[in-house]
Amino acid sequence: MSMETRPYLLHALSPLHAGTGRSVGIIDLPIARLRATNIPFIPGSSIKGVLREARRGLPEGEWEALFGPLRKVSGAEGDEAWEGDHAGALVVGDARLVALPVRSFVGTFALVSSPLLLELARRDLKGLEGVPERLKRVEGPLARVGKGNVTVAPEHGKLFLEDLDLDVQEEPAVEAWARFLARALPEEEELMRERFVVVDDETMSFLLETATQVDTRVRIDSTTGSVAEGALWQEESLPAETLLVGVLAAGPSLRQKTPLGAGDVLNRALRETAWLQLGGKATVGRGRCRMAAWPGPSKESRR
Amino acid sequence: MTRLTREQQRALHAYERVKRVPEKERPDYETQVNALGSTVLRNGLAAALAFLERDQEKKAAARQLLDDLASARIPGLQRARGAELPDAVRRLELRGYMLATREVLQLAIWFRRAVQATFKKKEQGHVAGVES
Repeated sequence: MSMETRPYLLHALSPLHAGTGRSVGIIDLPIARLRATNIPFIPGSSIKGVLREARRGLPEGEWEALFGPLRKVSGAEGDEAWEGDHAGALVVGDARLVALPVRSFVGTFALVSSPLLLELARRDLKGLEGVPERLKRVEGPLARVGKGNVTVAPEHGKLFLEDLDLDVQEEPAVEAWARFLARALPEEEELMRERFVVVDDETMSFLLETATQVDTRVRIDSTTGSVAEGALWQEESLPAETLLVGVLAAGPSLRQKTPLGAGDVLNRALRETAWLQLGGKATVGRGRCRMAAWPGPSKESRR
Repeated sequence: MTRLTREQQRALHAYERVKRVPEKERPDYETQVNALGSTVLRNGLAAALAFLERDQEKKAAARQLLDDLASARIPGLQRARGAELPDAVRRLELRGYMLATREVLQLAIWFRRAVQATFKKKEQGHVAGVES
């Protein structure tokens, strides 16, 4: 069975908490991160469930062909196949961080990436037209920017990110990356172009640990009007404006009487920018995201 | 010579120091420990230690925590004693500062665990995860 793939861009419009449950670390409710690299990610399983709801407008047969039929019984018992049962044709991959918004003393915030994050994104973006060249690793701490970046302090020629003062180099490839990422969300091109910054991998690794959003929350005891015992906790989120990249893959429809090729499946899944509610803590405003694809077909296919 | 992981070394240090905190200082010490990690994340290491520095005249617990962090042999800060630690951090160059920040974050985890495991329930406050 031949598969086609198509990358997508996820843009957080509010803080995004895709958590891992309670931890015994500094943060009581941390976000999910890849084990070896510590890079934040949103599991494909989270995205698939939400995308399934976002595409409810599809004809029912197509909707089932894409996402698979809902189980008749939840839990382990529901795993048994029934007549007409089939797998969904769509495979939703994890979305991995590609640029983290970081507070900047000049220009309010920068969208910060690194050679490693861009290299990992290049793998996912393979097959798309115009993917920029890889950025060479450089000795840090150092920031590379495109022309006209608004986060560089002009009189100092430096970037002031959170606690870090970084020397700056201009590099055309940085602007190329910003423009390329913005092709998925053209209305954001200026915002991305003028704030996109590539720091060295070491500095990025520090920011991945220290520049996420941490909120302290409490539950009030209604009888005393003060904080209930044991009810103060800290929650981590990816800040609003975070950019993540992932891949959707698809094979032909497996649903009888709904013949769809892999490309049709992807077209329906990514037919327009999807507004998704991802991750946890939705009732306190977390997780409003946009999911968009790059225009034009991807040449990547696999067997 | 027995080799230990870095996590074991941090844990041993934290538990050993937390056990020494006098009874009457424990509620204050717990508050300082619980705030340490998130203050580093929100405000940076220099600001987090400056808060402790400010409190150390009035609060023995803040003084104690500065001593406890200083004696953990944080890379680049091995020579600083408790009261000197905030100033030594302010003088670190960028790479050293990033390294020290990450080390303090790891230490903060173990101090928090040690406090939760060592202090009795009535000495603990509103922080989630401390109930038995």
